[in-house]
Amino acid sequence: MPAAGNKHRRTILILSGSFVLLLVVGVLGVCYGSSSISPIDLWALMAGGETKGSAGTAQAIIVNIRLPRVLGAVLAGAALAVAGAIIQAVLNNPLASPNIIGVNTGAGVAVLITAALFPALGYLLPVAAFVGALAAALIILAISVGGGVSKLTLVLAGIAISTVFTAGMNTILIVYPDAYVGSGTFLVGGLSGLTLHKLLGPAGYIIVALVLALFQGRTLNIITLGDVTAQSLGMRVALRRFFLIVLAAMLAGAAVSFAGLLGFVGLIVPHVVRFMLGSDNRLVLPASALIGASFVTLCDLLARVVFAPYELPVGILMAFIGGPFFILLIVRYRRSNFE
Amino acid sequence: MIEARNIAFTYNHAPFIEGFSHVFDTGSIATIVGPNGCGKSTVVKLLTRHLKPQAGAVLLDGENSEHFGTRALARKVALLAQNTHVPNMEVEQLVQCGRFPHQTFAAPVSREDTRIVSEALEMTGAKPFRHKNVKNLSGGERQKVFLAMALAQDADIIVLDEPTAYLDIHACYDVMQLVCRLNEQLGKTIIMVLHDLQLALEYSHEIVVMQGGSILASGNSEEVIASHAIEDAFRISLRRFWEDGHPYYSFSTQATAHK
Repeated sequence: MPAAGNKHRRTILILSGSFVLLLVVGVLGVCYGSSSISPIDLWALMAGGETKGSAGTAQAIIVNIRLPRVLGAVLAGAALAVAGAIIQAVLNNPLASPNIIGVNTGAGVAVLITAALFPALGYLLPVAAFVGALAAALIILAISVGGGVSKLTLVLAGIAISTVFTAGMNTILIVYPDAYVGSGTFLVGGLSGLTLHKLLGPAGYIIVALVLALFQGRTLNIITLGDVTAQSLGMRVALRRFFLIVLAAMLAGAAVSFAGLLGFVGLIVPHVVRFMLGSDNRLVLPASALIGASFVTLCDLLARVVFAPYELPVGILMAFIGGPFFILLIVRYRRSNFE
Repeated sequence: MIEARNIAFTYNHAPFIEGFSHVFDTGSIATIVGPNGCGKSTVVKLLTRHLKPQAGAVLLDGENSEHFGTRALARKVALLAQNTHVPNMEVEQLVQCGRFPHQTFAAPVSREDTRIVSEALEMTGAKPFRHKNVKNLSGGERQKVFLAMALAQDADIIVLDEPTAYLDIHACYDVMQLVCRLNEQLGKTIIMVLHDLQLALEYSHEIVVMQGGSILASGNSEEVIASHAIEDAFRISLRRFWEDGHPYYSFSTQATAHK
């Protein structure tokens, strides 16, 4: 009983700590950047204090630039991390994540096609991203479910699919160079220029998909037992797997539609969460949402302040972290029972 | 009661299971034996609806199993499959998975779930390592844990496909004694596939001998031995001898004695 009690306390501590971390990085993200205000001044502004002169400028920066950006980081981080946790469980592959298996690039190519061919229909971008993400995810699922495919082969297939989609995006940007404003940032993943208006649609998709996803922990636990056992436990496996892939595509697609091709969140965060909390997906999903949100918000803050007054797209910083992490994972799993 | 009524199944247009009919009595331990490729595992998949028979039907308490919903079926029949994937999760978490067919969407784990999981861990002797990762257990411990999950499923019928595969002899007997306890103390109907004829003859109330996709003979160990079906199916000779009132069996590949 003491072991169970300790574990329970540890879980509560980690979940509440993740929530506090998110609040702290969120406040810091709003306060600091190329021009900064202290958290105390932020509090004064929020409390309805002085808004003229420099304070008025600060308020404008916060409301029009920082707040959408931090909200975007929170939503994209939570969405991509949860999508990664779902994809890893559904494919039973610890190396799978939205960017590795081509889901992000699938969403990206769909966004650019829509932006190029229907420039007036910007509100359709999240839907297009969802369709692109879903198409890529279903291709990978078909390869995976066909059987006889090793985990590493699946990752290679994902990389091949991703390469094709990336070529597609580059082709679109050559043929329609003005298709997407800030396409350079989009291709590496970034949150600059994000407005509340632009965020509203994808936020709706993400919130709905997150709420649904957070109830899927038990289902994911069963799916990781394999098809035969899952079915004998009363699960309609193919249907559930399809539903989960749709959820992951909704999350990843909506995030890509405003944050671009942010990589590695969906790979790193679920692994860190499992390291801290174990592999129970009932905990992995909410913790991934919280830590994914904190991670992207923190990386975006660092990308803004480390090279100030210059600013890196957050995707570049995440690639610097994610690339070595991915290699580490491959080495680790090759040493253990990866196949 | 589970009954296979004249079921047939075809692999790649070639008949594999033909005219398989058998009633597995409630509360008994029935073991299906037969040489490799005779269709034992296919019968298990047909009984548990992992495969659909092309002819005939599987009846559960007299009703066609096709008429049951997926969860309703899981509340009646639990399957411990061969070569089950070993998940990266704690023992207790795995056993909790057994409650899935009794839980509704998003409903929290109930007190009854907790009680049944705890009892399953106790009954199978898995309680001492309930916080260990399943991947870190020995083969015998893993089988106990999967049996605990099947037990938590609270189904009247438990189907075990090769539950002793890859286990050392001590673990084999451990698992078989546990199977007997589930049958005797909880009244579970057990249907097993076993390759080990010694274990099959020792622990089963009924043995079903298969050959070429159909039943060669069935009955208790006395009847099956008397019918020479095991010798014919496996092309071996079987000798039984007694010591301290306990039957022992020896097998050899020499020409069968009865021919």
